[in-house]
Amino acid sequence: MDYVNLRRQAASLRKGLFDQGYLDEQFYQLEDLQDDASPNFVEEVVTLFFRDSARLMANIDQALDKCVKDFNKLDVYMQQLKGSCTSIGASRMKTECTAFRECCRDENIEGSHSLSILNLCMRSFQKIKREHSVLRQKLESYFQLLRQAGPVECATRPNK
Amino acid sequence: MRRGSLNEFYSLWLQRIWPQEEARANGGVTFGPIAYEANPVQILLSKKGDLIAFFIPLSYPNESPIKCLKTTQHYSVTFIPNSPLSPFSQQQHAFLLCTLFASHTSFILSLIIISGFLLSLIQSMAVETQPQFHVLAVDDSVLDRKLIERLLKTSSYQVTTVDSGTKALEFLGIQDENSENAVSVSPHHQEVEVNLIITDYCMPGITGYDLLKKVKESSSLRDIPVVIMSSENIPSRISRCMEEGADEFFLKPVQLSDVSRLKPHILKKSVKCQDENQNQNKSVTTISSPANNVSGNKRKATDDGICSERIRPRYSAGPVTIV
Repeated sequence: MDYVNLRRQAASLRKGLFDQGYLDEQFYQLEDLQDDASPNFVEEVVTLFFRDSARLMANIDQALDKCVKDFNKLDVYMQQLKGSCTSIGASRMKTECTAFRECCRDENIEGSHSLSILNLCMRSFQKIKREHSVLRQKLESYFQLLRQAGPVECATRPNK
Repeated sequence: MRRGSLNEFYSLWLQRIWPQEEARANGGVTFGPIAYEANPVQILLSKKGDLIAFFIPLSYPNESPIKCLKTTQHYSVTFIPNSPLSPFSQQQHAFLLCTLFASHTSFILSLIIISGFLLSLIQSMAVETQPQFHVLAVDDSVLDRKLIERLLKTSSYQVTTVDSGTKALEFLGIQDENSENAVSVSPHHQEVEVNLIITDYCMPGITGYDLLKKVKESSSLRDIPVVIMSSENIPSRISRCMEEGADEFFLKPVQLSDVSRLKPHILKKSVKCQDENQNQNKSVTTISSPANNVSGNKRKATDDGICSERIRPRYSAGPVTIV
């Protein structure tokens, strides 16, 4: 196994995630918290994130499917989802969540349950789902590479 | 290697092979380099000028420098009587040099290992004797709970996490006023000592703000510092919390730099408690151990000055003059 090459691949994948805006500063914080006492911290947190966000997104899906007019509830779910994104530094997802919440707020302010606004929300949610799945794919590849590259190198920050 | 540390090493080595009393009786030692062609050889001499030992660098040629010493007439190659290095024949000398050198490297190795061990021992002792503060973290998000737990543990706090305000109140021993029983302190409360509460603001059921209020209303718990976390930067929310008695307001995501701001709040409260303790003890005839403290949130009485108990590595050599 060419460990050097694998590590290089992992590093470039990681760099890409930052350069393309998928991850932000908060991800550095997570990496900083990883040490000998907690050697897989970043991967654990990310796994937790995807599990938690999948659950929240299923709730939102359900709520939207039922054409629920309770946008407050949707807003609460979305706030939780956005909170989770902020906690791990999932930058693009966070932006889409904000956009969604704007839709919800517009709906509430408008007071009318126009279909167009609901459609906007749904389209916004589709974007969130897309970002979610892309991020998941990339991070899964990243951690897989790290695992293959060997236990020596953890997901630590070489240099900013 | 710096000259100073080399000398330390030599003096340590010397102590190993030459009992201190003998060394002192012979007037101590000096050491310094003598040149043998281009390669310096470190030697140890007694003040009388007798050669005790010398150290040969790795790069040294095979030839024994003893011949040279004799011919340069700088030093007499006689050994101190009864020293471990009593007169040897030249051949034995060469062998001795080799063994000296071998023990030189293994001595360095054992020195490194021993000092490494001592250092880690000191460190672990230091950690053990430092008071460990207990933080109760409250957050409904499993992700944020994991994060805050890690942040706090990394900063050497003991952590308990709960996922709701209700559970936090249970843990603290305050019963929810929605329940039928009156607000009271449960008997288990005394065993659980919490030095700080950090809570999320937005939670289903009892919010962080409600929790803050309940803590501040409780006579036994109001001294515990409370920190509120929120993902939203709403000034009115912040000021409301601070007015209710919160010590800090952190914006999420919470970072290590935020956690470093917690200590002063914990220490401030504990100093206040220690003062109260002292005032209480004056009127009490029997000396009570920290476990018997009346109030549940008094800090365990530990001293800040724990240095006396620590092992300090001793590197002081015997009588040594450095040339």
